[in-house]
Amino acid sequence: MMDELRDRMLDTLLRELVGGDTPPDLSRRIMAQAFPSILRRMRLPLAAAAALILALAFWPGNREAPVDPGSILASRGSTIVTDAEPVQFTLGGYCYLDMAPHSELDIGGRELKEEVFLKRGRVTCRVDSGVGAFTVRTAAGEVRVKGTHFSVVVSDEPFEAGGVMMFRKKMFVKVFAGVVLVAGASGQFFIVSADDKVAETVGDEAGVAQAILADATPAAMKQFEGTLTGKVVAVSTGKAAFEPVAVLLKVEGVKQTVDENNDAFIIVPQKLIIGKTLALQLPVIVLNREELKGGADEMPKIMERVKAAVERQKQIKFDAKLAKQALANGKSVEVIIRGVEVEVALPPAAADDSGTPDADGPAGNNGKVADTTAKPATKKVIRLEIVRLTILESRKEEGHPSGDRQSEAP
Amino acid sequence: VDRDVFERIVLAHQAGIYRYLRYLGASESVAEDVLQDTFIVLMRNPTAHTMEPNVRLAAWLRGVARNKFLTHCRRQKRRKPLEDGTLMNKAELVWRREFLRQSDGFDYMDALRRCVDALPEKQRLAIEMRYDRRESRSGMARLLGMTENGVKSLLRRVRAALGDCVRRRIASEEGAE
Repeated sequence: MMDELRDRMLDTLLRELVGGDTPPDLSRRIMAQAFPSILRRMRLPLAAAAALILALAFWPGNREAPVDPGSILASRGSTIVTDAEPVQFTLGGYCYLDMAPHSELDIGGRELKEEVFLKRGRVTCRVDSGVGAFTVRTAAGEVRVKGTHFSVVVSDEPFEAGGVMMFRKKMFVKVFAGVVLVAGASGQFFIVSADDKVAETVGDEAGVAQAILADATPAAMKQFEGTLTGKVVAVSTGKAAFEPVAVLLKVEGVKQTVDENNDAFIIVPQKLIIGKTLALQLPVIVLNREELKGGADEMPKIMERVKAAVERQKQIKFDAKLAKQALANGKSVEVIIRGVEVEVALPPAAADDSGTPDADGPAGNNGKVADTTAKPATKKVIRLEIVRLTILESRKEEGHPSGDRQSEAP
Repeated sequence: VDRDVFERIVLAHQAGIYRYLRYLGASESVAEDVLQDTFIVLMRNPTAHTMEPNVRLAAWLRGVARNKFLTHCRRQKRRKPLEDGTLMNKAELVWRREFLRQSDGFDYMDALRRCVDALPEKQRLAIEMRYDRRESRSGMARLLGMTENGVKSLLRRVRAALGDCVRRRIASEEGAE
């Protein structure tokens, strides 16, 4: 038994020493719980008073009566309904909520894991980073954050089914600062604020697909340029034994900027959780003007391409040597990704095809003999390239460019 | 309780307690929660945080963490390899005698780092694959042309060799002093 325990001890230490499973710094979290602010220390008596006020306010018979406008005290288990005026309140000392008029929400959660259920209307939330988690749930999905500024709207959208008019819940999320994780019935995705642009998306039962559709509105036609920062936490091997060709990033920041362009270049960071590590997936699709003009009618086709892209593009690829170096040193990396227009030769069979470029680029010539006397037909497509991977030192601004490598092209 | 004193204790001991909980079999998230609970217990014991020297306080914190983790395991009704109280006491003994040795384990980690660097090629490759690249046992077996049991034995042997190497290094360094 003692030998087994020694073996276990070494296994634990090697995970930390070689594998980077280092102890996290939880001091802020612990200090926040051990030394709550005055307001938090007063929470119990205040919560009791608030509960009494709310109990009176929502006593059967007048439960729907709106609370007074302005700041209020809120406690778990209570329901807040606003009338013509907005209402502000704080949860847990780190979540600041601003409820729009004609909204309704329930307060749930627990200490450092505050949570509200938005039944109707809009709530705008600002969450202090590094203190605790915060979740807004709706009938259409949920938004989880640890420090950001965003708003959630839940509304009823009419639709016809079998000649009957029905309603379904729809959730709109706007992110003003930071990154939020939205979880819908069919998947999870991040929404990222981008400079002064407000990222907006729709999430209900369609989840990821609807986020992509929302990005693909004509107003969002773009050439993608994005930056990811994070830690390399694992390397997968390639055909040559032990040669790392792809890495998994522990994402610490995502930034995305867009420019007007004819084609929409869409990249949707998704997460795949392995323990507490975020493994990044970057499904990429390219949409042309015709597809975008088609709007909702093109949705099924776009959906198919998104699904195919997710299947194909499991991970972004980095320079093997740099990836290994970053992994060995446990350093943060910054990856600059850009959509780059390139001219590619089309196979003769596809030369006359002026349709949508395939997300994988041109296919092979399927064994047909090309006409070498004619000028080869070409087509401009946008490829996704990693233009720079930088291993960061202690701070982002101290990073230095270290190399580049083209990623798996869309 | 003085805020600064408490914060200093948290900063000094959080890594050690987290590492200890992972050794006992706690997942990352459970280790984080138990660690937080442990310091809250400390907060509510005004006499505990004045303990001197640090080794005694560390032992006290490990005891609290161990009990909290045991309670968690029982509540989850999931059998953990070390959930039995007697086993946990033995685990504590190994941790204290082999890893801590009247310190915070820094010298052990340092010696282990050097021992890993000094491993023969094949053994170092196995360690790198297992811990650095997080290959599964089956993945390693495929790449190394071995059976899964063979990989398991190889890793055990390498860890045992590393343990011996660390003990020798520490003994020689202590002898030199």
